[in-house]
Amino acid sequence: MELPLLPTTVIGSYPRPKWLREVIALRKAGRISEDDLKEAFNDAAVTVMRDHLIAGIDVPTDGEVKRDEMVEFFAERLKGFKFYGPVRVWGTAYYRKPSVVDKIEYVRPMLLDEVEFTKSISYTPNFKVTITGPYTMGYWSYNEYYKSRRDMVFDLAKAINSEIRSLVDAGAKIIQVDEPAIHSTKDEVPWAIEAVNESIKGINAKLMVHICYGDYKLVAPYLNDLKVDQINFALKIYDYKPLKLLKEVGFEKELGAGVIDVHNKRVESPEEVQKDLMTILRYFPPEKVWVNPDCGLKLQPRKIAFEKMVSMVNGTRLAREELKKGENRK
Amino acid sequence: MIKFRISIIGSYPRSPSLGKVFSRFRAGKVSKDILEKEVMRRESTFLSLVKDIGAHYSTDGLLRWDDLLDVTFSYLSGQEKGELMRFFDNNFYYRKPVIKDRLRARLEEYLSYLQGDIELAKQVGYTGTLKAVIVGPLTYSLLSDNQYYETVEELIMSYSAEVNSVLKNLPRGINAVEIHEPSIFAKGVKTSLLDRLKDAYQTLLSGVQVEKHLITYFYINSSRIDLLLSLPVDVYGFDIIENMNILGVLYRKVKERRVFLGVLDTRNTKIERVSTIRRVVEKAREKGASEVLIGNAAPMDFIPEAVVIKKLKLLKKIGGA
Repeated sequence: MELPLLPTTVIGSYPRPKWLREVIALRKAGRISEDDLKEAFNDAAVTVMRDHLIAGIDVPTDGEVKRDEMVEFFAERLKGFKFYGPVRVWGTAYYRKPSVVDKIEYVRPMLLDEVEFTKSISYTPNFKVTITGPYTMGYWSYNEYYKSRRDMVFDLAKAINSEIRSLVDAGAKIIQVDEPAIHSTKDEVPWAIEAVNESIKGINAKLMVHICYGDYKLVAPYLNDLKVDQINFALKIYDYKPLKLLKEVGFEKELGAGVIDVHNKRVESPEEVQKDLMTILRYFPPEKVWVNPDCGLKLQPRKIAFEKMVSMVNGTRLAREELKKGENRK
Repeated sequence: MIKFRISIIGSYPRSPSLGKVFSRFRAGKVSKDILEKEVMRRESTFLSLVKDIGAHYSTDGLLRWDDLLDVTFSYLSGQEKGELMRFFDNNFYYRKPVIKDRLRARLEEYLSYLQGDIELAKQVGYTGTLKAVIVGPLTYSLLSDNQYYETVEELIMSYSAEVNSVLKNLPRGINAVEIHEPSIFAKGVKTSLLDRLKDAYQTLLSGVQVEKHLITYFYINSSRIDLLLSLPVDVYGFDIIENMNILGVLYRKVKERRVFLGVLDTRNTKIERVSTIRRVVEKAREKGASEVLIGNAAPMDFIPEAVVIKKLKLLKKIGGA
């Protein structure tokens, strides 16, 4: 995999173009066909990929524009789930939290079309595919069927493993398992790690896990047990304080460093990103650091999301130059 | 067959359509009047529902607040809204209050909302007891970012004193206060803080004439039940649906006490069995609790509104005014 030092990537989601939101509303109102909607989704993926290209992202995604939400999308496609209605996550933000009402089973590929299309439009073979991990899927669902959350999560791990296998067969080389909930409950972290490992068992691809927001202390002692190449974290929002913790626990994986606050409309300057990266490099060597935003950029206006990506890339370029100068001086 | 009085606690789900009105208001697209009318319309539907199930006590559903901590902004100044934080172990987030200055009671806004609730309850014919809702001093101090007070103990005492002046001015028609204190059972709370809690509650509730309901939820730490029961309130609330394994310990301690038992799980869509609920609440009576109130175990934001309605209607089969 040919990538520059400090490869830049995104976590996954990106704001949907405004026109796509209107097309979705038209489809819901029955005024356009499913084929028209599919065409619009593909066009939106092309648009996002182009934004990533112009910004200079080394490892892009399709912005997850075809998915409404990270749990809902998969729950709609697996057997065993039911939806009762939306619930609030904060303020005026909602999602349709699913209920598990039967044994969870894998039915058919869920992201295959998405991956095949992304592959056909990507400007690099090194695009990334994201999938919600078993613990987060289970934690963010209601359990009406299983005796324990653990039983539910391990059935989800089996289903996700089948899906990841089909993605690799379709040509996905970089796969990120999203586990933002993995550090929600201290007592469950050890088996949650086992479940993630079960979901990626036997997979031949570059594997990453995304963890964000919450108390990293709960998961830190177990991070090296994850059988992945990289773990990426939200760090900017915490002013990089978790770096010390990661160092203390002897974190050995590649670090995907969040250097962009996705909950703040202020666009970080390239110089700020450069400075932050130099701080990160005091803890971890550049060969083991990737650069990404704290989380998906979906909740920002598209203009801001784009500007944040550009700053991230330009800041990374400044850091690479600084490293090069340092090398030359040696 | 014994009937148990019903008490509805905390928040009722804010529907996405009401959420949209809030978003439009915050974007400057609709006026405060339009937002208020919409909030009151939904609150009226909620109060009609609690009237229908025969609830003896109820909140106003807290529809106007983004989260529990948001309520404090209507009765306290000296704080700003900070970053989004996870509300305990839920996939639900609140804005952390950032304390920048000395906390001071603000009466006007909070009392005016309560006055509106009283009038609305009259209009819909809800004759039960309306409860004002406040955040308990410990929970407030642990879920906020203290940038002003030297110590957390100082913050707790200041919060209690200021909120006391709010509670002493509750309008006629609000006959109970519901104090949310889920952090009392949280892990890692310093003993020095717990030691000050009794003083804090004495300050908080001194001279307050209405009924005081202390509400906890999610998790019960059995080693702190005695501390909870030492606080000077009238009703002690426990989430029993998530803590069925310690009911024996709990019931032994609530003899001759008025208790609120949260019997509806508001973190799962699975509908409870009436027979199970009846069995556990009757047991509390048998063990000597002087009164058993029943209701939802925790705020209701965590499950869809359609499920909340189904669950609340179950209460009618066990309780009633």
